[in-house]
Order: sequence, then C-alpha cells, then structure tokens
Amino acid sequence: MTICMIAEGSYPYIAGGVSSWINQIILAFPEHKFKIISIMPSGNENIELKYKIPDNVIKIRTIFLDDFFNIKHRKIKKNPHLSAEEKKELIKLIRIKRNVNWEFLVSFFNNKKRVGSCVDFLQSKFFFNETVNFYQELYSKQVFNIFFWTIRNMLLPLIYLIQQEKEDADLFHSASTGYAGILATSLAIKGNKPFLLSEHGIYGREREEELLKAKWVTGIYKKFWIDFFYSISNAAYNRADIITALFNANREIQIKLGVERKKTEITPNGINYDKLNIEKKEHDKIIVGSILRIVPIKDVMTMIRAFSIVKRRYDDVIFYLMGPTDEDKSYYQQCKNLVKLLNLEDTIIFTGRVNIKEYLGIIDILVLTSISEGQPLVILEGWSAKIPFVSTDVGSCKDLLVKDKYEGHCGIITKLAAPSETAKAILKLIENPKLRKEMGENGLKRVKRLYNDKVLIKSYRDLYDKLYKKYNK
Amino acid sequence: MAGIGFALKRMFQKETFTNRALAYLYSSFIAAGPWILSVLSINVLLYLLRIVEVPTDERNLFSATIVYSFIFSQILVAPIQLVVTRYISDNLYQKKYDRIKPTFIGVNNLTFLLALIISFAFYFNKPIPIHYKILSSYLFIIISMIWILMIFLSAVKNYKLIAKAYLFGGILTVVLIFVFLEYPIPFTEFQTSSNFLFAYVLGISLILVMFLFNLFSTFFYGKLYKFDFISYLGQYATLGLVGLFYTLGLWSDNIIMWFSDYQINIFDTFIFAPYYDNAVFLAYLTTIPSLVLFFVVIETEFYITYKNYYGQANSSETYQVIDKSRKVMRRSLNYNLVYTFLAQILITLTMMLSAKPLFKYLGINYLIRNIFQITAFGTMFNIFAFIIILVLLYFERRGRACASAIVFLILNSSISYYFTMYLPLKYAGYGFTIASILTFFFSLYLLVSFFKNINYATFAMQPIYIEKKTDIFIKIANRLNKKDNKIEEKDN
Repeated sequence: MTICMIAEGSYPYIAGGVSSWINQIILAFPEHKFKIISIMPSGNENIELKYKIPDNVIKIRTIFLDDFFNIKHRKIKKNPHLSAEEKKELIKLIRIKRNVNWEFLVSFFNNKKRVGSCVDFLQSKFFFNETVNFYQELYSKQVFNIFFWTIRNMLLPLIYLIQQEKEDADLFHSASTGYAGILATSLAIKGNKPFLLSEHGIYGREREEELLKAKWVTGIYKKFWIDFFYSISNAAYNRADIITALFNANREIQIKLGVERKKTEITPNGINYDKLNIEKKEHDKIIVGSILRIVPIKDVMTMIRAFSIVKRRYDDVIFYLMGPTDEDKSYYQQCKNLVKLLNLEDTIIFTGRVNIKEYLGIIDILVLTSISEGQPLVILEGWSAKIPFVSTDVGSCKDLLVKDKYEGHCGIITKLAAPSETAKAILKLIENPKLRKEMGENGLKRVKRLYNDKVLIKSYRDLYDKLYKKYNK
Repeated sequence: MAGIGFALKRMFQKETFTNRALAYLYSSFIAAGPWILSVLSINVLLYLLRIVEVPTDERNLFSATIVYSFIFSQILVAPIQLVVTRYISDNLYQKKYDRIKPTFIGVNNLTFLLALIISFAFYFNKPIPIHYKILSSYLFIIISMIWILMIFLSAVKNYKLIAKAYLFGGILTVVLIFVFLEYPIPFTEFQTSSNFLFAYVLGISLILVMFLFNLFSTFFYGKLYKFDFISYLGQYATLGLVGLFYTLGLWSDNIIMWFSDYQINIFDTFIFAPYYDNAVFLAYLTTIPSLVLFFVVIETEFYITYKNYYGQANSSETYQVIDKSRKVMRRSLNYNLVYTFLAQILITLTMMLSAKPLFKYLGINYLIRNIFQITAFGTMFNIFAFIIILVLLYFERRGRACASAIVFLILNSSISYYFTMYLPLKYAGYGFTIASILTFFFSLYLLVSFFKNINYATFAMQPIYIEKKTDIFIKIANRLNKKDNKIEEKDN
C-alpha cells in the first residue's frame, strides 16, 4: 500500500528525534511505498535533505506555510451565500473556539468553486463583520488593527493547508497534530482514507510552553495563539482513526484533551540496539557526552553551567556536545560565548553532527537537560552502548530511568534548569564506577525488553494492516 | 512558525494610505483650463473673423481646425493622463525627484510621435493647402504636448504659472491678429484664416515655452528611467480607462452630431456641427464654478477628515475611535457635496434662464441658445458625475470609477445616437443630458454603496500581502530602463 507520511518542520529537512523515527519507519516497511509531505515554515530559507531518502519513498511534496504568497488576489471576489449552520461554524473558527467542527470546515473550504481561496475568505465581508462582532463583544479596548491582522494571519496558513490539493494514498500518517495534523485531516477526509496519528510530544502543550515565554506575542494574543494550536490539534484528534502516544502519561493528556480512549495506543520508540552495542574503548579521562541539537528547548546553557560545576570538582573530565549546530545559529553563538566566558573551551567541545557510533564506545555518561521531551531516542541509543543517563524530569524520562520490577535504575533524574543538581548527578556517576556500570547494564536490559525496534515495527505493521482493512472491506 | 504572519502585517503597514489621492484633484482642477481656452479662443476669434468679413466657409474651416485639435488631443492624452499623474505623484512621494524630468521627456516623446502620426494620417490626402496642413498639425501636436505638461505642472501645483501662461498666450494671439490684419503674411489660399491660425499657434507656442521653462527650471536634473512610467500602464490600467472612457463619452454626442443634419462639411476635410459644438462648449463653461468650489472644499475641509480616518485605521486605535472618524468624514463629504451641488444648481438655473436675453445681446444664434439651455442642464449632472468619479479615485476605488466612466460612454453614445438619428433636430442635446443624469445617479449609487462598507474596504479588502507584480508593461518598462542605463554608461 501507499502511505502518505506528513511531517511538520522535520523530516527530511531537519534532523532530530521525530525525523529519525520517520526514517526508521520508512526503512522498516520496504514492502510499502511512501509519499512524504513535509510542511516547512518558509520558502525563503534554503533547505537541504538531512537524510538519505530510502528507495521506497516515491514522492516528496514540500509545502511552505508562506506559499500562499503565490495566490493571486482575484478581482472578482467570491461571496457565497452562507447558511445559518455554516455561519455558526465559521464564527466558531473566527472566535478560535476549541469545539470547531473541522470535518465541516474541510468540506466547506474545499468547495473552492463556491468559497474561493483562503484570500477570498479573509477578504470577505462576512469575515470582516464577524471579526468586528467578536472584537466588540470582548476586546473593544484593544487596538483594532492588530486584532484584525492577528486573526487573519492565524487563519491564512490554516485555510491554505485545508485547501491543499488531495494526495492519492491508502493511508495518511501524521507525525504530529498542529499544521501537519490539519493537513492530514483534510487529506484523509477528501480521500476517505484512514488517518493514523503518531504523536511524539503533545503539540498543543509544546506550543503553549513556547508561547508563554515568547516575546513576539503579547497580551490577549498569547491566549489566541494557544487556543488556536489546541483547536487545530482537535482536528486531528477527532478525525484520526488511531492516535498513538509514546508513553502512558502522554496518552492520558490526549484523553484529557478530548481523544476517545478507545482510539488511543501506546507505541514506544524502539531501536536496533545490536547495531549500537559498541565495545567500550579504553580512555584516560572521564568522558561525559550529550547527543542533541543545539537549540533552546534542550537548555544547553544549563548543561554548560552544570559541566562547569563538575569541572571545578573533578578536573580529569571532558565534555562532548554532539549534534547539529546550524538550526538556531544565534543560540549556538550564545552557548559558545558562555563556554568562552567560563574558560572551558578546551573542556567542552561542540562536535557538530557526527556518527554517534564512533563516540558511543568512549563515552562514560550521557546527559540531557531538556525542558521538553517526548521519549528521547538518545536515551535508548545510549543504553544500547550501556551508558547511564542523567536527565531532567521531562516527558517520559522519569519512566525510562527509574527502576521497576524488572530492572534497577538506569540513570538519574534531575530537576529542570538546575545546573547544580545535574552536576551533582554527573559527579555521583563519575565518582562511582560501579554504579555507572550497573546503570548502563540496566539500561541495555530495558532497551532489549521494551524499546527494541522489533516491537515498534510490529505494532506499526499491525496498525497499518488494521486500518487498511477497516477502509477496504 | 506562527511568526510568519507578523511579518505580513509589517509589510502592510509600509503601504501608507495615499497622500497622492490629492493629485487627482489637482489634475481635475486643471481640466477646467482647456474649456476656458477652447471656448474663449473659438468665440473670440470667430467674432473677429466675422468682423473682418471672412467668408463663412473659411470661418468654419478655422473653427473646425480648433475643435478637432482640442477634442482629439484630449482623447489622445486621456488614457495616460491619470496614470502618469499617479506615477509622478508616487515618485514625488518617494522623493525621487530625478525621475520627473526623464519621465516628462519619455511621455512627451511618445505623445509627440503619436500626434505626428495621427495628424499626418489625417491631413495626408485632404484637399487643403499644404501650409494650412502644417499649421493645423502643428496646433494639434502642441496642444497635445500642453496637456502632458499640465500633468507635470499640476503635480507640482504651479497654478499661478499655468494661469499666467494662458493669459500671456491669449494676449499674444490677439496682438498678433491685429498685426497680421495690418501686415498679413501672403499665404496663397485662405489668407485671413491662415493668418489667424498662425497667430493662434504662436500664442499657444508661448504657453508651451513658458510651461517647459518652468518645468525644467524646477526639475533640471535626472536622465534615467524615461520610460519607467510604462510599468504603471498594466497595474493602473483602470485609471487609464477612466480617463479614456470619460473623455470619449464626453465627446461622443458631439461626434454623433457631426453625422446629423447639423453637419457642415468643410472642403472635404472636416465635418462638424458648429451650432452644437459651440453650444456644448459654452454649456461646459457654466460648470467651472463647481469644479473650483469642490476643489477648494475638498482640499481644506474634507481632506483633514480623510487623513484622520485613514491615519487612525492604520495606527493603534480602537474600532470605536476609527468608526467615529469614519462618521465625521462621511458627514464632511456629504455636506461638501451637497453644498457644491446646490451652488452649481443655482448657477446653472440662472444661466439657463438668462440665456435668452444674454445670447440675444451677444448676437448668438437662437439654435445655439436652445441647445445651450438643455446641455447646460446636462453638463451640470455631468460635472456632478465627474466629481463623484474623482471622489471614488480619492478612495482608490478605481474599479467603480471606471464603471462610471464606461456607463457614461455607453449611455451617451447610445442615447445620443438614438436622439440624433431618429428624433427631430430640436431634441439635440437631450441625449447627452439624459445620459449625464443617469450616469450621475449610477455614480452616486456606487459611491453610497462603497461608503456603506468603507470600514470593510479599508481593512478587509486591502491585499493580505504584497503580490509580486509582473505584466507585459512592467517587462517593457524594464527592458527600456535597461537600455536607457546602457546608453547612459556609454555616454560616460
């Protein structure tokens, strides 16, 4: 069968956990053909493939969210007569309600002959009047210009995605909700095909965390954007036939956000641990590593501060930060500056993107200080080489690391943004080689038992087959 | 990702609401100039010709030469007049002063070439003496160039000079006529009318020289981008069409009348309808007060409310504040329109009623008077419609303005055709008048319906993002610009 995989801001242009996971899935099913739809923020940026595209990928369709620039403002505006029911639903959309009937909106906006393009709608009298009504009822003290344009700019890429050309496939598989989820929803409705949603984090939550910190949006608009992302997530939650989470806590959040329990599944990450079970190589200094993209969400600053504390207590140590540095260049520069300021240029080394197999043999401890994670693949990779982990308590990290009835602890959990605590955990492992070894071995046992790729691939094989049968009786 | 949208808004805000709308009005004010010039010159000169007892045919030849030159030069210039106005006011707004002179040279060369071809084609096989052909062609070309120059001078708002030039040109013509009456140039045929035409052409040339001198002393620099204005022809095509259709509409009843029983054929060169043409010309004179009045009230009172509304719509105001400004602006526009219209109605009625004794006193034919009375009523509505078209342009509603102009052209040509061809002569002018009344109500409807949704138009109908524009005109302009720059490099 042909599977259409929909990714947002990731595969195949940006390396990372979700992208690796997609690559892994595609490679695992050589019997299926894959079409990739990659949603990227802007056509103005240069993008390049970060993965060797597997042979069973038959098409890569890239949609830039700002592609609507190429739509022409038409002279004759479509101004359809709207029924009371249609008005009611469109008003919910304009007011960013969470209970928008997406199924209805998809069919409404895809009748382009009647309603025209996204530009037509956003220039329509109906849209203007309803935005004014919304404004006057609740926000009449706000600057109208900003209010109007915020709503417009929110809906523009959204409707643009809903109106995308349909794609022939037997199954739509999205790696997140959000823009990818809305596109998958639209395509699945249009083609009447199954929709499988594999959520790695919780999209709405992640956007909410970002937005609360963001400086580019203020006042009531923070709430607007947060509501907006939760609202569009509901599109995928409602339409998807099956929704997977990496671990139970996320599944419970999905259910709290309105997903029917019977649609949910847990499909943990899985890796081919044999490939990574690299023999330890002898080395003099203790080597602490971290496999990560140098981006704010990984809180690299905290990690660097933790390393500097470790270095003060234990001199014979070296740190490797392994991963791409080009995604957020200014943040990378800040990190470098901090390293320089702390005078640790010889001790903390940014390797750039590397083949981690070459490093896993010499690394003694792996560290994560992320402020948000799903179920980090790097933890599983580290364990495959029997390396213990120090990680912040985000996503499913705690579940991964703490002991259960099968294995003991596989690493140490720390608080977020707490350099001294992270440092303490690292020092504990440095000073106690026995503990280090034990935790590393526990990790390998756990990967073998729960997070091996055979389990992962089997669950997706089952899901694909089940959904295919459901729609092809 | 969500950040994309915010860049759009910034882009939009760069597009400021127009100061340049004013330029339309300036050019309309200037539109009154040609009327005065043509009506006065024809009547004064015809009066003199009659006094010196020139034969009717020769008098008519002279009269037709001027009528043709005026009408067809206006039609020639009409399609680019508003577009070029827009182009220069945009450049002035962006302080690209070095574009003015080259643009003038570009537009002028183009007009000159077209006018030359047209007059050559027209006079080529006509049975009139060669010296007369040259003089008339010269007149046609010079008048076309004057219309072009006036676009540039009105953009610079040099009204004093424009008035002065007309005055001096007129004086020179009259003085020369007396000189030539004493010492005529011995033309082989049509001696008197040729001398008159020669005097007239010299007077007009003085106007041209004064205009040129003034333009080049204000904008003496700049060489490049002579044909860049062509890039506007596609984007602002509607603007060109407003000018073209309105001007065609304006003369369509005259041209139709030339084929009626009023027709006079002069040496198989011109056909025209002197009674009708003259009556309509005179009728247009009565509308000058409302044009000037409107110009003044718009400039002073309305503009402030207009600027206030668009300024607030574009800045950090609440909807309530913006909407209040909208009401103030609407009230101001209402008041000023009604005020202007009432004043004009008063003037027109007075003129219609006093036409009988006045025309009798001046010794003007009663046929002209009858046509004058009905067309004065028509021109009143016509000027109202014209004012509304200007207001629509003021609000950047080019489509609506264009619709009004098209409707006027269609109505005037069809109704006038019907009246001229199928009804007795005493109904001459009724077609034009009915067409003007209907056009007025149509334009008024367009204005009112636009105003009902003006907030919507201001916010929602603005483009959501700036489209990259390419069309055939932009490509032509780019190619010519490149060529221009290359020649420039070689010169240096």
